[in-house]
Amino acid sequence: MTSHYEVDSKTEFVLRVRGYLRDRLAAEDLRLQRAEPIVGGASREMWSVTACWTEARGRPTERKLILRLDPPSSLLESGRHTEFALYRALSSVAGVPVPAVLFNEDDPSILGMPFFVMQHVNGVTQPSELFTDEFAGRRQHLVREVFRTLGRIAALDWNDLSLADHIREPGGHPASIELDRWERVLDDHDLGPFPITRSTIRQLRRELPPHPPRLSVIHGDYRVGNVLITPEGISAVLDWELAHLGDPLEDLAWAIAPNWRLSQSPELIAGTLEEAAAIEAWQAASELRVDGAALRWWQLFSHVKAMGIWTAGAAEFVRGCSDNLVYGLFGWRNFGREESWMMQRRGLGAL
Amino acid sequence: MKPPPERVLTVAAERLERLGLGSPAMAADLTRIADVLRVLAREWDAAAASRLEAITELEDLIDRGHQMLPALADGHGNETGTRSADLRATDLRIAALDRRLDNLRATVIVLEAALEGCDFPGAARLLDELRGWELGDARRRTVMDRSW
Repeated sequence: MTSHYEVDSKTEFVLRVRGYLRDRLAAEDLRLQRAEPIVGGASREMWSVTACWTEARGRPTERKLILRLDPPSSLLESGRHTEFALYRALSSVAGVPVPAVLFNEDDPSILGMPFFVMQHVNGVTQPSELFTDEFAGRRQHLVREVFRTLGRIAALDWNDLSLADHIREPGGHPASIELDRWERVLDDHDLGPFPITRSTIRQLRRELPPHPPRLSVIHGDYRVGNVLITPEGISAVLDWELAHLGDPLEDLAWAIAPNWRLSQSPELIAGTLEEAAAIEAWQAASELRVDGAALRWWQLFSHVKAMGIWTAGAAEFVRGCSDNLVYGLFGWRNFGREESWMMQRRGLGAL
Repeated sequence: MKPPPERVLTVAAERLERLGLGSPAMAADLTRIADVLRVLAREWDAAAASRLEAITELEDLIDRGHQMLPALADGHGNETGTRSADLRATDLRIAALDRRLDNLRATVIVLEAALEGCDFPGAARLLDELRGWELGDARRRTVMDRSW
């Protein structure tokens, strides 16, 4: 299977995008000034395009758009409709910026796969990109703001968001439900036995945290890499495809997990912020107090969830459904590391 | 003397990275392919030996577990197949060794679950030793460290 950005398919793909946007935007003279795949984002293919056309009154218009595509093989089951609905619902919420979304298409015949179109938003996502002159003197504040934004998400009243068709109240203990969910992902993408992961799941099941004081919207993959940052602040929270209702500590634990830290400063979040400062920022914005034992449960759970994500991706590669080398390398890079972290958190050894 | 595969793979990785021009997507792909070649170069020589060592260690630990819990041995006694000491040439292929290790890891999952609820003398110690082995195994499987 080939990726959609390979040269032989790129021309055809770009022509289809142009034709689609021409129709949807009713812009007969629309042309694409630029169309490039975005590097990164393991679960979806994304394209950045700049469309130019003349509006009805003769005014020349230029718009930078992002196409988010469901490839035939994706790291996770597509949550495109959920993600689109979240972007729509949050567009009017202060303090939780998201890109404006335009169109959501299920018909795979348009571009070869379902997709949605959203507005381009400026900003960087990678922690290493914060270490440029542009961000000098602002890093601490900005990374803290990442956690304040997460706190504001935890504080949202989900009943006000009209998302009933997309995210529902969990029918039981949120921790137990999420643990079952990710254990199922591991079972469904069986890549061999993982004794550490299985014994960690047994321990988590024996030691469930208390029911959370309230249910919150959970982003599901909130971390510095999924937040667009400019020197002025957070410009957008991206990648809501795993969103659901649950215990707000789930997102906090995931956001402070060691997985997303720079190898040269693993003790700091994004090479910048102490974990305690991140938690403090989250507490202030969410108006919730962190239960230390419950957070530790979710931190251990985060490694099981990460194993589920790596396993799902690696299985696609092993079965020949994907030729994305990132998936292929999960087995060499992520499995052992994730299980070492599990052991470390259980007090059974250090990495 | 044939060119050592490690050297061939390393040079191939370096050549690939020098090609890293063009679009960011292509450059990222080339870097990943070079990473794969570097890992293969590093793992090549010890690939069979390290697996065989892991198999021998794990067989010993599982034997001790099965002596402690004979009922488990009855149910899972044949999963590991031929003992590592009796392996033939075809058993030494990397895929065959990986299959054998996976069978042993599956046996460990069952054994550990049983040991966790067991107050037999020596059960806690064996559990500790199994977990120590698993940690070493996790490190061994992490052939690409964080800096990659």
